[in-house]
Order: sequence, then C-alpha cells, then structure tokens
Amino acid sequence: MSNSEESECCPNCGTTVPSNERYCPACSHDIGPPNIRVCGRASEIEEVRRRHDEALGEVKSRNALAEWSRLSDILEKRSGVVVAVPASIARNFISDPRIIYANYESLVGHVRRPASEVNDRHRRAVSALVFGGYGNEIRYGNLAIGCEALASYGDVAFRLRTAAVEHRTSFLETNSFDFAGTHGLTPEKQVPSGFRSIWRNRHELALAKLGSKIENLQDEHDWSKLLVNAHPSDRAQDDFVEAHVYGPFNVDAVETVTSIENKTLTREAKLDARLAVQTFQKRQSKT
Amino acid sequence: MNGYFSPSVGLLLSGSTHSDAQIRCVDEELDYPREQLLNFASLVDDWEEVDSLGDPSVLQNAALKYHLARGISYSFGLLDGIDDGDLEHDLLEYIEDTLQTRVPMQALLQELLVAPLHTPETAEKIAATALGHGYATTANLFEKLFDLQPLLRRLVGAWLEIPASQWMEVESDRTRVWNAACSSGVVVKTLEQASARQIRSQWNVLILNGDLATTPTTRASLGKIFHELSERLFPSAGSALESLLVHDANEEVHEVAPVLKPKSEASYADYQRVIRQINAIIEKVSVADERRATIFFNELVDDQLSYEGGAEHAVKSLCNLAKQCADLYRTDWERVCLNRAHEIDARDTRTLCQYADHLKRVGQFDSANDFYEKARLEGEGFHAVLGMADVIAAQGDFDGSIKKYKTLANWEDDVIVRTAIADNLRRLGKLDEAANLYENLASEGTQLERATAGLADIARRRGDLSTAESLYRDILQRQDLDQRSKMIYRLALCDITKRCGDLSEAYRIADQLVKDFPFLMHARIQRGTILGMLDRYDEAFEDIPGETAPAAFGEWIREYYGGILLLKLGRYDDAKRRLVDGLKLALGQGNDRTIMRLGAAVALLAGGDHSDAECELNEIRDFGDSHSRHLAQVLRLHLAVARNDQKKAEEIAIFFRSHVGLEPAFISVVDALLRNDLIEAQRGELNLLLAASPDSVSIAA
Repeated sequence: MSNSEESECCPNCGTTVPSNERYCPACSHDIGPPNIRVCGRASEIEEVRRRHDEALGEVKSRNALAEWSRLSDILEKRSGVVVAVPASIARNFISDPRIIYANYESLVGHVRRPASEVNDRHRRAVSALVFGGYGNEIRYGNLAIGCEALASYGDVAFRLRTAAVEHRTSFLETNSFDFAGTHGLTPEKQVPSGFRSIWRNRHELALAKLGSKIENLQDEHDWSKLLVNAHPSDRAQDDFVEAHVYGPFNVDAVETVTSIENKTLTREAKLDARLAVQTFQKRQSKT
Repeated sequence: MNGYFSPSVGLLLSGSTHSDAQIRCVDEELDYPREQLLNFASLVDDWEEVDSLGDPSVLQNAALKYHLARGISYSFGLLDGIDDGDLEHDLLEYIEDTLQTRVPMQALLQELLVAPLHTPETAEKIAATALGHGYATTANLFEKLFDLQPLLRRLVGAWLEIPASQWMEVESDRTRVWNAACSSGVVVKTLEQASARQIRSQWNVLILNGDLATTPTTRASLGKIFHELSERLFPSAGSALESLLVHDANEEVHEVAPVLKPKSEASYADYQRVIRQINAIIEKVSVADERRATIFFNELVDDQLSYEGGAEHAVKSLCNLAKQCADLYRTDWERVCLNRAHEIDARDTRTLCQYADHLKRVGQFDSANDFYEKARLEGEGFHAVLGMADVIAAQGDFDGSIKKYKTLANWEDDVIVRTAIADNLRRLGKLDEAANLYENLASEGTQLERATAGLADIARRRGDLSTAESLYRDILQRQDLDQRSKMIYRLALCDITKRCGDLSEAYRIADQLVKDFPFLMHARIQRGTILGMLDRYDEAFEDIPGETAPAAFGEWIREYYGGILLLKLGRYDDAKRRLVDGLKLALGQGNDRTIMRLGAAVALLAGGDHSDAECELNEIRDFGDSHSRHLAQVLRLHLAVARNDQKKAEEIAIFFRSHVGLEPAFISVVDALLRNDLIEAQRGELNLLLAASPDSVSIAA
C-alpha cells in the first residue's frame, strides 16, 4: 500500500516530503501520519462519497432508506476501532504493577516498557522484521459498532477510545491481504481511490460497502454482524472494514476489554483472557 | 544467530530482513499463525535481544522466562485483588502447577520483590487462600513475599535516600540499576544478609555487569553507591534484621521480632494450615526435593513456636511428620523430625518412644533401649517395657522378647501384652500356641480385630489362603476400623489375593491403596511386585525405586523385589548385587530373613554358583511359613536337578507329590524342574518369590 505517487511540501521549510514519511527530512517538522495524509486527500474523500451515493440510490429503490439513515447515524456517532489480540498480549498489556506497588515508578520506571530506550529500539527492530518498511508503524484493527472483533486474530477485544485514535486512524474497505489480491496490487499498481477513509468519513466508506446488504426491518444487531462478519475457524471468510492505527498505544487508549466469544481456548489463554478483563475492570473502577 | 524474544508471548524471532524472518514458539502450547503475529507483533512491548538462537539452552531459558512472565502477571492480578472467586482459584492453581514443574519459587519471588507492596496484607490473605485450596508452594511464595515486606521497605528507603549527586558519575540511572538488582536476585539476597560487608559483596556483582558500567570510573562510582547503601542499612554492627528494623516504624518490629504471639483464635484454621504444611513437606520429601522440604520444615516449626504454648503442638506435628517419613522409607527425614522434636522438648514421652522405635528399626538397639529407659523415667514404664521387648524381638530373639513381656506386673490380665506375646509366638513359628492365645482373646471379646488378624496371618502361614482371605475381608467389614488399621489389612488382603494368583484383584487393591496413600511405600512396592508378575517391568520399576542401602527394618523388601525383577529380566549381575550383597547387612529377622536367603539362593542358582546357593539354603530356618518352606524345597530341587543329583531330586519330588493342597504355582514349577526345563522353572520360581509375604508388610511389622 505504498503511496509514493504524490509528495507534499513541508509547511515549515518547503522541502518535498515523500508521502510515506511522517517527518520532514530537512527540518523534522511533523506533517502528520502518512496514512491520514493519503486517505484524507480530496480525491479519496470524493470517490468514497461517490460510491456512498451510488449505494444510497440502490437502497432507496429497495425501500430501506430508514434503515440506511439509522445505520449511517450509528456509524458516524458510535463506531470505533476494535483490536483483537491474543490473550497473552492482553494480559500483559493491561497489567499495571503501579497499582499494587508503592514507589514503583521511582524504582522501576514507567510501566510500559517502550519508554525504555533499549526496549523501544528492540520493538522497532522486530516490527521492521515482521512488517518491512512503511507498515511497521501500523496497528491493525477493525471498524465496529460495539466491541465486535475477529476471533481469528485474537482472543480478547480492545475497543479503543476515540480521542486516542481518531486523528491517526484510516480505514480500508476490507482486509488488506484480500484487498491486495482482489485488486491485483503490485508495487507499480497503487490502491484505487474510493476504498479508504479517514475517521470523519468512515461511515460513508462502511455504507458504500454494506449498501447492497441493507434491508428493510434490519436492526443494530444485524448491522453489527454485517460490519464484522467473523468466522473464528476460517480467517479467509472474515469480512470487515480494516482499521489502520498509526503508531503505538497503551492501556490508556483502551475503552473496553472483552473476551471474544465462540472460540476454544487453551487453559493459559482462558486464564489470560479472564484476568485481562478482570484487571481492566478493576483499573476502570479505580480511575 | 541473534534474534528477539518476548517473555510475555513466548515468541522467538530471528532473521535479518522482513523476507527471511522466522518465528518460533518457546512452548508447545503456543501456536500463533504467522498472519496473526503480523497483527500483534507491534503491540508486544517486551522484546529482548538474544544471542546464539541455535543453542538449545537459549530455547530452554526462553521457555523458563515465558512461564515466569505468566507467573508474574498472575501474581500481580492476585495482589491487585480478584473479585471472581473461580478466577482466583484457577490462578492459584496455575501458579502452583508452575512452581511445581516449571519455575523455581525463588525466581518468581525475586520478580515480585521489585518494590514494596501498597497493601502487604493482601499477600498474606492470598497465602491463606492458597493454603485453603491446598496449594502449599504458592502459599509459601506469598507468605515469604509478605514476610519480606518490612525489610524491603527499609532497603528501598535506603536506596532512594542515596543523594542524586552520587548518580551523576554513573552511566546507568538509579532505576536501571535497581531493575538489574531485582532481576539478578541481588535484592532478595540483600534481605537475607547479615552484615554490611555481605551486602556489598552481593551488590558489587552488578559492577561487573557490562551494561551498567563500562569504564573504571563508572565502576568505581557504582561501588561507592553500593558502599553508601550498605552503610545506610548497617549504621552499626549487628544483624541485618536489627539494622533494617532499627530505623523503621514500630509495626515492622512487631512483624518480625521474636515475641511470642498469643494463640490465634482461629485455631481450626491453624490446624488445617499445619496439616497442609505437613502434606507439603511430605510431598517434597517424597520426590527428594530436599531444599524445599527444608524450607517448609523450618517454616512449620517456626510458625508453631511463634505462639504461646506452640512447642507442644510443634512436637506433635514433628512426631506426625516423622511417622509419615518412615512410611516413605525416608529414615533420614524421620530422624531430622525426631531430633527437632527432642530438641524442643527432651522429656516428651511420645517423642521418646517414637525416637526409640526409630532407633530400633535402624538397628541401633542400645540407643533404642536408652530412649525407652528415658521414657520409663518420665512415667511411661509400660510402653517402655513393650518397646524393650520389641527390641529383643527385632534381634531375632522372640523367646527373649516374650520373657521381657512377662516381667510386667499382671501381664496375664493385659490384652495388649497377651496379643504381643501371641504375635511373637506366631513369628517364632509356634503357630498352634499363637492360635490358642488369639482365640482366647477373641472369645473374651477384647482385641477382636487384632486377634482375628493374627488368626488370618496364621492361616496364611499354613497355606490356608481361602481362610486367610475370608478373615481379612471380615475384618475390613468392621465399621470401627481406623484409617491406618484399614490400610494395614487392605495390604494384607492384597498380599493374600496375590498369593492366590488373582492378580487383577490384587492389582486393584494395591492400586487403590496407592491412590489413597500416595506416600505409602509398602503399597507402591506391592503394586510393583504384581506388575512384575504380569511382566509389566517398566511400570513395576516405577513403583520399586532404584538401588539404595536399606536403612531400617522393612526397607529390605525394596532391594529384594527389585532384585527379583532384575532376575526376571535376565540382568544377573545387577540382581546378584541387590539380592546377595545388598541384603547381607539388611535388618530383618524370622521369616523375613528366610525370604532374603531365598532371594540370594535363587540369584546364585541363576548364576550357576551352586555351592554358595546351597550354603544359603542350608542357613534357612523354618518359621512356620508354608510358602517359604515350599519355596526352599523348590530351590533345593532346582539345585539337585542342576547338579544332576537324581536321588536328592526324587526325595524332594516325593515331598511335593505327597503334599495335599499345594498351591498350583508350586506344582507347575516342580513339574518343570522334573522335566529339566530350568528356564520355565526359574520363571515360576521368580513369580513365587515375588508372591512371598514378608512380615514387614503384615500385621507383625
């Protein structure tokens, strides 16, 4: 999903900044997360709107306009990013030793280890190994009305706080692996317009995708399932709007933690998931 | 090859570029699909750099760290407070399993001692809950965590008081050095040190850590900081405890000062706790985990002595523990328990009698008599004489033992003494006299259960196995039997059914006994012999442990049965070492000694050492046990056949032909010998030797 076809000028020094860089190579000015800059271009937003309107036309002909309107309102006001993580990650992510220890920070330092220079360096090295260049800053999730998540990607769902992610999250109409295959993406062939959004037009992207499936008498429960169509035992059949969060987040970015249902877990995973949920609830009640 | 490891998720990542990245899980339980990893790898925030990924020890170490990380998380969760009782239980259970099999307790403890707890009493509560569930190791972990809090608070205070100016010349900051001290165990060790010098020597280890100090100057600065720390902790010479507490709040003094606390009102809970502590010690002793057994042992004693009047309870607990150690054949631990009990109260008559009994079983007869004499002087004259008579019997002088019993005033009126006399007559082989005494006792209605058991054993010795079985089954029907008596009679019944050839029933009884009394060595050995008779050798050897010198009466059966199994496997040299050499100095008299000689003889015969085998057979005395008598005759027949001594063979054959009611197993062996099929004969002989019934496993023990 490289987007190097267009470059921007640094508002601070005027240097040309490649679209996949966040900081100006000349003055280090922060020009914003690259995924937001790409997906927030006027041409992208207009194409999403065009597809959205097209879907709306179909819905009108099926007499499901009321449902469309309700769903649009829900998506715009209430949808958010949910990240599915393995239980062991959730357990470790949520635990906060400061709660049980006195003098913790003065002795041990910050709770989240990336604050340590050495550990952060290691994390970046690992991300680069796993993702390659641009993707190493992206955390993957899905757009959801509630806490619906993809069991094939993890055991525990984190719903992220809007304030923590709205400025740095973009969306792709479907799973990026499937998308690349379906649209025959290559290093030369870029992502076509109209399939990505930023936070403020995410509802339009979702409606453009789901329009043909919106029917009379549907309710929020049905739409939740349409938006996140999860198949725990077969990832290939998962269908969802993929969320790309630029940069790391910690437990303070998490709004809700839930155990993902309909999944057989090992003894360890079950314990990890239950502990993560319980610890998060306690944490919420204390704060 | 270098790579990265995450303790929280248990993944090892290697490779130099995105395209050749390889992911491995450190534990078989983990199975993350690669695509899944792509989604969460950047959320993992505890990647560590590791070297030499090809080295198997790296994987092993990584697995340990992975399990440790989970143990830490679960402990955090518990310390934070878990509202869900089921979850709390499951976490405790998992920690217990982890501490038992995957992670040493000390390793987890040092990770939990990173800072003082906000509410230390939470750790104490968790310990109590863990004990309530029977998770002794976990309870021990949290108790230690609780106990060390006052000292840790003082240490942390001293650490944070070191002026910031002293850190100016050090490359690493205070936090980083503290983290290194925690993860390397220096903090835990500091809490155990008794002097400033010892503390310095612990902390100075960190100076050599290349990550913390790289130049002579920074190393020297770090050394100064550690010196300052030790001086703050030990402003004057004295114990670590004293110095750490001298500056601290009063409540900390109360937590550790050797002031006897009033007995807790929750005495039933205390009792349950002691029982669990004892069980935990026995569990560790049974698997030879001496270090943990010693820790638990010291905790048990210290706990009990910390209460007013606790010495009496401590002695009782120690005597109880000693008895269970004896059942495990851990005579060394039995001695440790009795020594400690004797140190606490040198005049306690239960300890004196039990100590004397222990000394008798390990063959220290003079010392045993000394202890019985001490017990007599403390007012336990009756039991002391009974014990002394036992000492005489243990030396093989059953007549002398009976005489000793008869020195007691009015012995004729005492059913315990008369039962003991009957037992000695039985062991001496005077079965008719013994049977008369048992019948009299039974007709008087006293000692009915013991008298019936005596008669059952006499039936067994006479080869009347159906009567013996029926009598034991009658006894086991009794409602008033205590647990231990029931266990003894179930063992005897198992022995009889084994002799009868009903191996499936015998196995069922033995197996259930092992389940009910997992630390009862007799039950394990009995099950092992049955498995050996079924030719299931691997399982048999799991129940009959390897070669060790028998240290006390009864322990020889382990060597004996193990040796017979080895012979069945054709391992003649190993078998001979156990049956001939190993049993020479074993403690055992009467029919037990006869069985030992039979074992030695069969090993010698198997090796073709006929003259030594003959010597062993000639030494055999008849103590009225028909099985032993017939076995001796079988081996004599074997010797005659092997020597081609037709006349002798014919004489013995006539003995067997004229015998009515001979056990079928004997008939098969004799037939095999008479047709000169020595291989088949030896196989039968070995099964008969496995079916032999030592007094050590009967009520005479």
